[in-house]
Amino acid sequence: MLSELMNFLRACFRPRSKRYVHTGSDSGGRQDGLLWYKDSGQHFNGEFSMAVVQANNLLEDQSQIESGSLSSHESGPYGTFVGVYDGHGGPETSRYINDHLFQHLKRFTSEQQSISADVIRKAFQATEEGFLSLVTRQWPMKPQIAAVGSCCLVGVVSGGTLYVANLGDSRAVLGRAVKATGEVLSIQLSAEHNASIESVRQELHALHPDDSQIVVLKHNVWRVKGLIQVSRSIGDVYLKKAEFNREPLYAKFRLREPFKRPILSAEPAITVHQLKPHDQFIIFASDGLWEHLSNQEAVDIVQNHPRSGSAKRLVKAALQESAKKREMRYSDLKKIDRGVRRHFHDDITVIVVFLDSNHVSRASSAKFQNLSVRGGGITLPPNTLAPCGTPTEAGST
Amino acid sequence: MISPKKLLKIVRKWQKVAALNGRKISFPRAHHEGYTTMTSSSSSTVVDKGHFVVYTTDERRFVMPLAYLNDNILRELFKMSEQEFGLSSHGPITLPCDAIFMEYVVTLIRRGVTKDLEKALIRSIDNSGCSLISSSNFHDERIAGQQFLVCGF
Repeated sequence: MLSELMNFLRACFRPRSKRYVHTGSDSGGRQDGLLWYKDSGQHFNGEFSMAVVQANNLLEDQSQIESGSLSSHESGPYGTFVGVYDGHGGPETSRYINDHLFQHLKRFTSEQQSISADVIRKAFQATEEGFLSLVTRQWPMKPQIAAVGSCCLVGVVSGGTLYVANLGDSRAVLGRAVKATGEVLSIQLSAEHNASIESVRQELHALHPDDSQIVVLKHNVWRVKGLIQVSRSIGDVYLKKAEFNREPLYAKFRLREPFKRPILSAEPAITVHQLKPHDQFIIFASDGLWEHLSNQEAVDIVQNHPRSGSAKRLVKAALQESAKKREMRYSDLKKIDRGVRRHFHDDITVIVVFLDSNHVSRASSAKFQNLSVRGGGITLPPNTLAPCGTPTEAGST
Repeated sequence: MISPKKLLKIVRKWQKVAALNGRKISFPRAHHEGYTTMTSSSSSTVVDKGHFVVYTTDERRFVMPLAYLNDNILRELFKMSEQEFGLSSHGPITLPCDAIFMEYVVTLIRRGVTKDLEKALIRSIDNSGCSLISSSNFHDERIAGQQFLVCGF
């Protein structure tokens, strides 16, 4: 009796959720206060959902999904590229990565006529070098750019293979269905490079045996040289090249002794996975999400709701958790302006990529138009007043 | 380091303002909704609509209306909190001052401080660098009696 009723109710709701799934024909997103979202869209291997909430005065998180040809030629290989770039010290590095990393990847894929871990590594390296030359050029006018950096998390799905490359403390988590129980389990696909992790501190000590102060506990937080929590990044050239660790850089960033070896690394950790039919979706997110939700909590939220709006739902769950920790109401947290909002939570970026088993292994581009969407945000200059609700930097097809 | 002379000057200036406005504002503290304090031990509940919570270094809990987030003195304290304690995501926000100083700040905000005084106070906070602000800075013998007046109306 009850199950009949449930079936009836499900039948009532199904057309509604399907209708939402198919509204993703436009690739631009929507803005609701400091929240930007794109509930649903189609990538080469299935659907995706994307959401960003801004806390900093200038959004430091940047993100993109690129789908279709992954090379400079239309001949492929085909697939989906996802990038989450969590900047620190300013938005310059994460924006630079958003503008250049995928272009480098396409170039190297064309040269090698296939996608590989090596291609991704080269794209990271070219992006790091490109940003270093930008800092070198801008140093005389804008020396503080030497202290701007970004984490960089990339996922590439192509021909049934998933590559995950990571620098810093963003994270990718796979939702995999267990046939016997019907549950969806979370599998973490990347490891963070954050000094809060014992093995990261050990790695730093091993790389800098002559420096007992390479990691310092400050206000209960482990920081590399007492300055930064991540041990790998793009940018942060003030901790990579000694010639940028001097005046006129602010005193708080300058080290007492000159260093010979780079203190931070830009070498991504890359893992390669063969996708299986029961691999349902991947959640890519900046640490702003993971400091409030566990891997399994996030996977459960995606699994137990309609696909459309998954990313926004995850962002909201994290904000609700954040409000609880601050002992206030979620409805009030949402009213706080960018800038001062950063004291209540971080910028949060979430991209959920669903893996449609019919599409995962497909290799032809039949009828798929290239897709490019960037996570939005308010991009007003720092001195202007409260943000208005206009969408900015929406993607284009 | 914070200069006591400067602070004294600010406090005197403020007292002038307080004297000017004193008669207009006469909410008994217990009934005023602007802020309440209690010890952190009784604090696991979510506050009323339209409010946020901060703690002081002596673990006193302050419930304030959201509008206070637009106040420059409070914003300066938030910035100092970031420098002092970093941006923690785990628990409530702690501002780097003690409860008496916080009550003083709240009084200033509630009375609508003049711009000049606001600037002077921010400057004095800035000059104190990263050192924690303690109300003991105010406890100059000559103003101790006035302090009661400031906080106890």
